[in-house]
Amino acid sequence: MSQLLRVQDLNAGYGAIHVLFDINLECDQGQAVAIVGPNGSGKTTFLNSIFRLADIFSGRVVLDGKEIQREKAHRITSYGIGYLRQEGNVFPGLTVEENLKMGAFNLPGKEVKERMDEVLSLIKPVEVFLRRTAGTLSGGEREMVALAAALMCRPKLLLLDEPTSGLSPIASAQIAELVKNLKDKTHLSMLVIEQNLKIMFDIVDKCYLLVSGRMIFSGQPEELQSDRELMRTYLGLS
Amino acid sequence: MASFIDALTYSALLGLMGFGLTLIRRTTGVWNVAHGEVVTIGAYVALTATSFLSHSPYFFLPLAFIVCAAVSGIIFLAGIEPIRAKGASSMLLLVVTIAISLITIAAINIYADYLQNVFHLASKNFLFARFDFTLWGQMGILWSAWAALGALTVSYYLMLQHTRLGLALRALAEQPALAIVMGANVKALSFLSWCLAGGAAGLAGCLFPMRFQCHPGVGTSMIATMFAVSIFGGIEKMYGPLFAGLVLGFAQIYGIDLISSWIGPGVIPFKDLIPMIVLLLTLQFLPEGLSGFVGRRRG
Repeated sequence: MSQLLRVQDLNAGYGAIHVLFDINLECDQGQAVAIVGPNGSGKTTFLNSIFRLADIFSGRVVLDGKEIQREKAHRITSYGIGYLRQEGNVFPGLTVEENLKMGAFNLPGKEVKERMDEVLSLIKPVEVFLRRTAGTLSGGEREMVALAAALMCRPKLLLLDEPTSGLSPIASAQIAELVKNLKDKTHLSMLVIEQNLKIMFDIVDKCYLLVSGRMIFSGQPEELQSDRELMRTYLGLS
Repeated sequence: MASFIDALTYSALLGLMGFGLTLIRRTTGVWNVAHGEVVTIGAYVALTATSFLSHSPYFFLPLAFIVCAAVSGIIFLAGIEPIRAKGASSMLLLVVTIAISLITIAAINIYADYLQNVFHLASKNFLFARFDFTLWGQMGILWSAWAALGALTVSYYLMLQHTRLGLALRALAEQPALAIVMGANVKALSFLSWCLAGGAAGLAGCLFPMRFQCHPGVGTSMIATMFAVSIFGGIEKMYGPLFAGLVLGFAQIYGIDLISSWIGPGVIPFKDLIPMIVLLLTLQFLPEGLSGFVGRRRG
């Protein structure tokens, strides 16, 4: 598999606040990579820094051979990165269809309809509430819409920030199933943050453990699971 | 009848002014106190062009639109965006617009002095009523002001609802960070909003002296009323300022007539308090404004 994303010696944060220290990470094409760690360890900041929503102090972010760490935030999507944010991931006053169209903002106008059909074939439940205002949907439905909208830009890499956060067990299982299907059917590369480790270990090929802004482990999910010390100290599991 | 025509004309001009304020608030979250001065600049564009080129002020409406759009755009790029990019709060940006407003007032006064001293123009107090035409027994300003407000509201509504640019502007108003993630250039969209708002203020400023006396502080003296129009109309829909302008324009002109008939003519100088009372009542009982209330009832 060829390398899609390489993050090298990344230092990032917000203004004067330094959150991430010398982060290195690699993600191959078609690979799903998890970033796990305790609350406040900098997981979301890491995804934000790839998208330039956090400040990058030093280091490189290379996507498909192109350095993107100096690009403006609104240009990142056009390089093939979709981002499902944990909060504020739909436009509540717009219809679901408008949310999807907004997701395809960087595509040529004539491709939007075709892409919407493709995305709706991948995330079928969304088609039912296409005309509804996103603000009227349940948490699980919103998450599906947000996922569909993130796919509209034809991403090579999808960033998922706790896609099952705050959802009921049934809705969480539905979202997890959708993400798994997406990976199997489209071979899309993914960077996933997820608190529910059971769901995540089922999906990902590789894990990174982030603690206090530093990567302290990288390897197969099974390796992390078998390291009882790391699991107990940082993830609260024995 | 004259009061009725005054109220109708004033309502349309208030609507035009409130339109710009609402647009900026809706898309960039900034209460622009300097918007009043942009209206005044529109009036001075009309005065300058009419005096030197000897045409009707109507002829210079496009020029007023362009100049005021440019001024508003420059205010955004030079004054607002650099501070907003550093994460300034809405309150801080409001303070920035107050500073810009004060600077612009000084510039307008200097320009008015220049016109008066060098070219001997009556630039401190002017009225263009003599340039106006008559249509169906009424002054042209009545039709022009409503045509401008109607055209602006309809074209902006169509742009918002039926174009990708409009979709991006609506998305920007709801979730700016998500709009960026989806590829919208928030800075460019915000700049466009400020330009369109400035253009609308320019139209209002160019038309205002056709019926009402103008002076260097005219926009400044009306900014509180513009805020009342914007808040009473609500930022949910762009037709808000149109209805709010109508209600407040009539309330101000007829309300003061009514009150002065009860209390005496001494209250007439305080007519600007009527929109302020409406503003306070709106914030207490209808904080989402007219358009938000209508949206909630439908939704």
